[in-house]
Amino acid sequence: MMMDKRIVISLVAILVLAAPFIIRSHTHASFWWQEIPLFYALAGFIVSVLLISVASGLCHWLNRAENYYERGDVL
Amino acid sequence: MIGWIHPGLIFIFGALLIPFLKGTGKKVYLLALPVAAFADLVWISRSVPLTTWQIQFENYVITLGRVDQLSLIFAYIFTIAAFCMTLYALHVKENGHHIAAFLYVGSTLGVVFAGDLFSLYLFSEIMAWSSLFLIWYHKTRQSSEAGFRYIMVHIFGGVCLLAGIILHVQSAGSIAFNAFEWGFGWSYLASYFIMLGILVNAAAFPLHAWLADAYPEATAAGTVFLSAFTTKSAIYILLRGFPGVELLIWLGAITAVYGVIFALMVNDTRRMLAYALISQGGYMLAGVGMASRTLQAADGAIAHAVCCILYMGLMFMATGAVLEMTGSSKLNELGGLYRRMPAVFGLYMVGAFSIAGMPLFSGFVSKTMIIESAATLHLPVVWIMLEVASIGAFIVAALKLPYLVWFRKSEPTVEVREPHKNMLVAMALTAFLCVFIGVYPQVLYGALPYAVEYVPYTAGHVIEMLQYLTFAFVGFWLLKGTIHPEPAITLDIDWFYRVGGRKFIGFCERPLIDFANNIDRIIKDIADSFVWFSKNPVAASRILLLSVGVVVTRQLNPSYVQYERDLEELRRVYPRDPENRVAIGMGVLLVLLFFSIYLLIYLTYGVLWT
Repeated sequence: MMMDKRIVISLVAILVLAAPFIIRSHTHASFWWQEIPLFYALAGFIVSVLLISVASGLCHWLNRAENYYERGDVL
Repeated sequence: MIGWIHPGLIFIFGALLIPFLKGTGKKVYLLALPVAAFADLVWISRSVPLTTWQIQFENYVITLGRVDQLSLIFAYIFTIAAFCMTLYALHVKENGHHIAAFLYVGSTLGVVFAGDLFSLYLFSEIMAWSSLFLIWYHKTRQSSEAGFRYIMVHIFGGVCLLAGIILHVQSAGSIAFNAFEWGFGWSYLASYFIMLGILVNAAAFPLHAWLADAYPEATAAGTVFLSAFTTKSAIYILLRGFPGVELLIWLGAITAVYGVIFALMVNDTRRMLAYALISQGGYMLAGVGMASRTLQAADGAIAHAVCCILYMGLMFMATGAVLEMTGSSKLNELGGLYRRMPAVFGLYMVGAFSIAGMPLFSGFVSKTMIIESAATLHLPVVWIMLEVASIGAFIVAALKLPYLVWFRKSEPTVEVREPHKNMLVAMALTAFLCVFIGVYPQVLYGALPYAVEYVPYTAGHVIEMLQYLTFAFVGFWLLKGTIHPEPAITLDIDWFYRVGGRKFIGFCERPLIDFANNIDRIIKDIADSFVWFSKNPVAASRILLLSVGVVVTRQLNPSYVQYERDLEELRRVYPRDPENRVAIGMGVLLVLLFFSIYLLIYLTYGVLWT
């Protein structure tokens, strides 16, 4: 079961990666980085890893017990 | 003048009849009202633009009905959303819940059609107060407290709005609601106040915390209603009043990123979605900010508001159904619900794919309009922030939340009941609309006021989005082992006024009261010493003199005790306090009595003698 999922995901990923080389897109690039090959795939991956790490890092700083605001010693 | 029934008044006056109806009749009536309002809108939209329902009030003209393309599209989506959401809330037994919801919807339509600032203010106040009851009807301690904070923040926003309106009317001399002047300096104070009041409603950073605080504490159906109206009507007001204010671009971009980061941190499904909602509002704010430079941004903001109402409503419906069926909305308590509620999961995912901007779903056709406007205007930082928020929304809504609620564990740890049929039907209807707009966006684009040509389905757009989403998924897949929801709350900007408010109350209760008591005691002592002195000033002076003498002689000659004996003798005979002290009220009463008797005598004899 686990293997099937991995195979499916890798197949989809390869297809999506290959798509821009198969289908010529005519979108006008506004920024230089949009010209980088596979920029969107790379960005999607990096940003998702970054966001999850930043969020879990901030959790350590900003998360409190559920009764935080009800406790008397908040003052 | 009156050739058109105000659709908002259909809801507001229609709500008054709800308590008199029962059973099926009530359900039919509840659904008939949005349908009637919709028919009314269709009828009126044949003759736009139109200004109607004008009332002369002193020197001002109150305009309840300004109908043009911009107000119509918002009115349409609000009415459609009201129908879906009423269907979702149909099983709710409390009449008050339905009445509050209808007043809320009706006053939102009042805001949308308001052509002057007085009715705008009036309707936005009705919105704030009626929506409060959707929170309070949850009837938990948390919801009651969150409701209080909610209304406090909205009173603050309302007062800012009112102050701005008064300043504006003073300087402009008219209450017409059109674009406000914007610039830098004291002369724009009125605009600043109005902007502040509206940004509170739009939940823009850093005025967003009330939303994430209060919305997740409302009833399951209440949150669905809340998600649609307040923030989107604020976007409408901004589009009218402040199109192209550059501040909004940056506030919007920050709000969008901030929202998704916090959505990844919290432990409550509905709070996650509330932060996602804040983040989506950021796109619209940015769109409004860019509106004067490219009309595509204005149209994008409107289109995104329409789509956002539908997919946020849908996702709140699904999490509300999970809450009603399991009694929990906490991520750490949920999990493994897929086998028990596949339908809710499937419908939720339609909303999640829409917010993520998956091709063929509604977010794709509207969000890209705003992001591409940032590209055409060459705002690289804004573009990056909006793209980051887009990927973040995908992780939040389409990956993390469904993974933790429907999968993760093999069996649910909570008890699961069946959802009400009407909830499922409402979700199916909303999901259909999300897909319909995604597949056939011309329906939406045709209704947009600025009629911008935009083609979402180019090969480039679709491939870009698929690359984003696939590889964001890969990133999440790799990191999903590190995600462990824990029972916790996440501090946000509201910490400042929640803890700050308690510190202020503590400051008032302890140091300030102590200070007041001390002042009080000192004044009393001084007054007492005057009373003591005036009983016998001669003896009192002697006592004071002798006390000094005693102190002096004690230093010079300790054996000389004559003064001390005299002092004791004097103190003994000095008049004491009377046994019964009469309260000061008694004195006042006697004085009043004296005066009234005097008045009586004066009136009787004075009148008689003359």
